Amino acid sequence: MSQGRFSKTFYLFSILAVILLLIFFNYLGWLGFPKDFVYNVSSPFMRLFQSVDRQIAGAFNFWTELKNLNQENKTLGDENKKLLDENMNLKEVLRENELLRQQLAIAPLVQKQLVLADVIGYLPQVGQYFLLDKGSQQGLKEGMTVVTADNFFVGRLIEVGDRWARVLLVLDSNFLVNALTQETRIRGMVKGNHGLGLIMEMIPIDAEIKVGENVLTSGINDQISSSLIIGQISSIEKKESEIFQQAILRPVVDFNKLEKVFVIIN
Amino acid sequence: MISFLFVVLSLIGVAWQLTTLAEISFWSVSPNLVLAIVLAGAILRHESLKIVWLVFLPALWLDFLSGYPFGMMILGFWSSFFLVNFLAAHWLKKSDLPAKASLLLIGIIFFEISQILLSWLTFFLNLASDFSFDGWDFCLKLVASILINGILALVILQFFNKSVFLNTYDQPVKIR
Repeated sequence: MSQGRFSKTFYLFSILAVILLLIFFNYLGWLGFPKDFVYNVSSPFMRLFQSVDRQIAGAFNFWTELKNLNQENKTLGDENKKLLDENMNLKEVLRENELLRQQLAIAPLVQKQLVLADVIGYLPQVGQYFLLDKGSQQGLKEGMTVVTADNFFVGRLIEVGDRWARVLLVLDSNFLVNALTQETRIRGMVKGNHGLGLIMEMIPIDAEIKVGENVLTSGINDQISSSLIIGQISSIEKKESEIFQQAILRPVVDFNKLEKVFVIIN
Repeated sequence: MISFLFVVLSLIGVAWQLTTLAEISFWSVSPNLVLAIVLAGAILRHESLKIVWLVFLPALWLDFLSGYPFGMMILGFWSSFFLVNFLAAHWLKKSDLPAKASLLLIGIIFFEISQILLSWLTFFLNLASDFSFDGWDFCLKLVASILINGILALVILQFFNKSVFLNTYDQPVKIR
């Protein structure tokens, strides 16, 4: 082996040694400062690229969606009427609920404290993660729940730096959340399907669940707030020979278009 | 000065990877700029050994910002770099297009396989809660990755070869 080749191999193994050392340091939790530094330097560029992307995508979408505008307008009008009716009924129920709470002397519902954060990075190759622009300085901690403005469930914080945080999305196959169906109140476990959708598992074979039904977080055992909407059942897979059935869910959130999220901090 | 510039450029590259490139997807595969840089760096014939260190910087930044568990990506990049660099020095010594394309093909296939193996390892070590492998899906993604990242790496390799930036690296500046 020539001298030059030997030094290159030596260099490569030195790099491997450094990588292994960094993995060990990360395990000990000593990489906080370099991670913060890398985030602080790269975040202005991420914001810049995000805003340029959105402007380009916005202009492109405007022209592609122009032809569907009439149909969409009609659908939204119908949906609006239905929602107004539903909203009125819900307000009545809310008032009734408050009255009953007062009569039964039950403590009022705790208001959620939320922190608004911008989504500034996304890397689907490695797993389903978002990078947020808020961190421990804003009161964020690992394990906190992340939602959208409409109370739709997004994921959970898995790593928090000083001014950044990483969210594991519900779409990731490493994510498991206890869930229940909204109307039939059947419990199960929702997990991501490698970024392609969601699956609800562990549903007893004799349970009657319905296509189109919403699936919510149950708030049991996994430190995730309850009653957040995860998705809608799009199909049910049942095999007579098995003791559990599973449902395929359609996520209610378009994760590719998400710009802002809320972190529940209480 | 050039090292500093490379650090800044690599950070900008990673920021671009996490935003614009993440949204471009062909057959659910996004262009992997860092993989392309690492493979182009492995094929590049250059005397300066410091370039080997610099090639790993974007990989490290990417792992800092999005690798979970930390180290999984950079280990994949390192092993692909090592293999391609070894092959470039011993077997595919020619610097024509077929030789470069073959090296890139081997590098990309090896990187994708290494990611599967490392995912399995993280699952085995209880660092991840799930591991599943769909052969058909993997093959489709592999083809897409070879096409997208192979072309990207060839462009970057061409850029590296032509770049004054790399050719002047570590060489004393002559002052008249």
